[in-house]
Amino acid sequence: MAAVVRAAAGCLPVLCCAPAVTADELWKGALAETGAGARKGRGKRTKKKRRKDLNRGQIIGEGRQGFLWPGLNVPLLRNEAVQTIAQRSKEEQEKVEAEMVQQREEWDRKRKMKVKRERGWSGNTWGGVSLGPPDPGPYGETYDDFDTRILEVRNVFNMTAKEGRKKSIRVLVAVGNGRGAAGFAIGKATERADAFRKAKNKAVHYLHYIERYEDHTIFHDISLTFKRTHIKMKKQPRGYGLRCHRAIITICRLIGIKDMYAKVSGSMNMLNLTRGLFCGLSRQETHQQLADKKSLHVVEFREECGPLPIVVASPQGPLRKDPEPEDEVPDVRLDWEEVKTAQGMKRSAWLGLKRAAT
Amino acid sequence: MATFGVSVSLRSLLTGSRGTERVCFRARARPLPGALLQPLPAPCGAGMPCRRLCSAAESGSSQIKKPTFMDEEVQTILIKMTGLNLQKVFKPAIQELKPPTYKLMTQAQLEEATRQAVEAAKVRLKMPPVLEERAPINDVLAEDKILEGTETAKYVFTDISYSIPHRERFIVVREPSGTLRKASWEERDRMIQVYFPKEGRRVLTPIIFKEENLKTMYSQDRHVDVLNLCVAQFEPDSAEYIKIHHQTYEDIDKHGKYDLLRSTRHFGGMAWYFVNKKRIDGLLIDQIQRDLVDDASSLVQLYHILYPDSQSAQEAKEQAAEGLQLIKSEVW
Repeated sequence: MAAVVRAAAGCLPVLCCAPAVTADELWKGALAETGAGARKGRGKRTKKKRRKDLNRGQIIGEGRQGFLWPGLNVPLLRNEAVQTIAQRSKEEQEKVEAEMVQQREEWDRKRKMKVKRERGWSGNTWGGVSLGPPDPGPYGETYDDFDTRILEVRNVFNMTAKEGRKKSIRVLVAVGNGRGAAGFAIGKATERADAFRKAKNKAVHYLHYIERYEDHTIFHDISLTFKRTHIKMKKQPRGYGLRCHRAIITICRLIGIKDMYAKVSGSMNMLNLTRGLFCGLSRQETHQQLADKKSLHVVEFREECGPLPIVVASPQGPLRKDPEPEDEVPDVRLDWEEVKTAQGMKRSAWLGLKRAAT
Repeated sequence: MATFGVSVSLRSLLTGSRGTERVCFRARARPLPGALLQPLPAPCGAGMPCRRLCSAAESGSSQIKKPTFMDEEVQTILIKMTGLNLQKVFKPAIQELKPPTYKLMTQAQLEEATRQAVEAAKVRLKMPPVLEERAPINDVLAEDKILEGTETAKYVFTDISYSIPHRERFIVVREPSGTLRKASWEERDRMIQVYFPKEGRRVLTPIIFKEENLKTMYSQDRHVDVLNLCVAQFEPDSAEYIKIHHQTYEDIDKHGKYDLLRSTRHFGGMAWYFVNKKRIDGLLIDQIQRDLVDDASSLVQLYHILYPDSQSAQEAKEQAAEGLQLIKSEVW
């Protein structure tokens, strides 16, 4: 809004002959957003100025002398009669001006106040920060029960002919509704907020449904290798919590898994970690599938229940009569790290560390 | 086996072919001073002297063959009434959880596993003994007035040889007044727990056995926990054990919560208590309401075994009643 700034009328008989400059032009000069300094990331963060609207709170008719103009400062009619032009006393005018100054100061304070951003995995990272539910789709579908969490924010650069290094923000985001449906996607844009939005809305289109055992853990232990990332996940009973990599904790909370142990070794690349995790969790074999595959009852034995057999799944087809061959020594490949921990040969400062429950 | 000079000869009269676990002291109101051996499974129902075994040795003896808790007939009836709900017997215990293990089984293997679980359940449902209250020990061994005033505290001397049964251990107390006396039952239990700690038993009585705390447990329907703690803490013939058991049974009877003890090892004791007090009405009604007609008829049968002189027992014998008929004859 271009309001014309003039000197207060009433004192000077002659108006200045300076050309009328709009507020936009003045601010453009003052802020200096474009220029050699702003390009290529040379601008300092502390030197950024913010534009302020100087005409805020200005009422046409208010002036230093304190005249009351009916129709401008003061209501036009009073008791059905048109009022005359009057003037405030000196004390009243001082009071009014002081009030105005106070009001302006309050506006300034409010503008300067920094809203604290919610903390993710640690103070300055964007990992673990929630972005709220994804935006509704074009056909009216809403995703209110989905929550999105950022997993990684990275500045990536591309060399162009004209500008040279061109910065772009790449964001990896996961969405989930806590009841088994979850997905992940990456979004890239020049601005951070745009990248968040793109990733969020893309992730909702790539959902996986992950089967959970009794809605709190996985069906069986999974150990897989995705590219150079090795993930080993173990099934745990209720109350154990999620003792995993912080990204895996975030994703498991979105899926709805509450108790699991996971160990990540090898590469910690966030994208490969997420892809491997989803791949492994989607390829779980439920008890019913196992029973159908082997045509045998799947029977669970719990320590706390003694020798009681609990049939978890029975095959839908016919039951096999011959039992599953069982070796005396199980034919599994042992993990050397696990063997060392079990035998007490592992010397690490992080063994037996107790953290807050998740 | 230390000082059994006198009682051995008596026992040899009585033992016969019954086996050592059924020995009882004959016609003595309280045990001999040297007889620290209390026979554990030698219960007597309803306070009458245990003469059943003596009848074998003394022919033409009493016709009052009072059935005891440990008789096979009584035990089979009680076991049948207790039932065997596997889900309740193997309820998840409150302990540190480990992830469950899975096995692939055929139908035959599953049945075998269930059978083994039933065997284990039967072991768990073995009933704790029901005994008479033990008589207090008031025996002074020596009076030494010369030691009076030398000490300010009592001294307890316990024999901690490993291979003596606890009931035969010598535990004596020297009072500050100089008397050397045998330790009372409470002192004995405390000392034995100090030197030979048993798992689940505390040296001093836990506060959960106070009145108000017991009331809280009863209001939370945790009668089974109370009884398990009681069995772990006290000896079966001690006064507190019997008192707490009776109190629990009374509370169950008052509120009709018989189902809490079904499929636990305490049901037999509760049924025995009610039959001895001749108050089987509540239990009968509960069984009939849950459609456990066999259990109800076996309860009535047990009642007739214990009181063959009662009116309903006579009627039932005349009619040779079975099942429902039996219950009806009892009720009307």
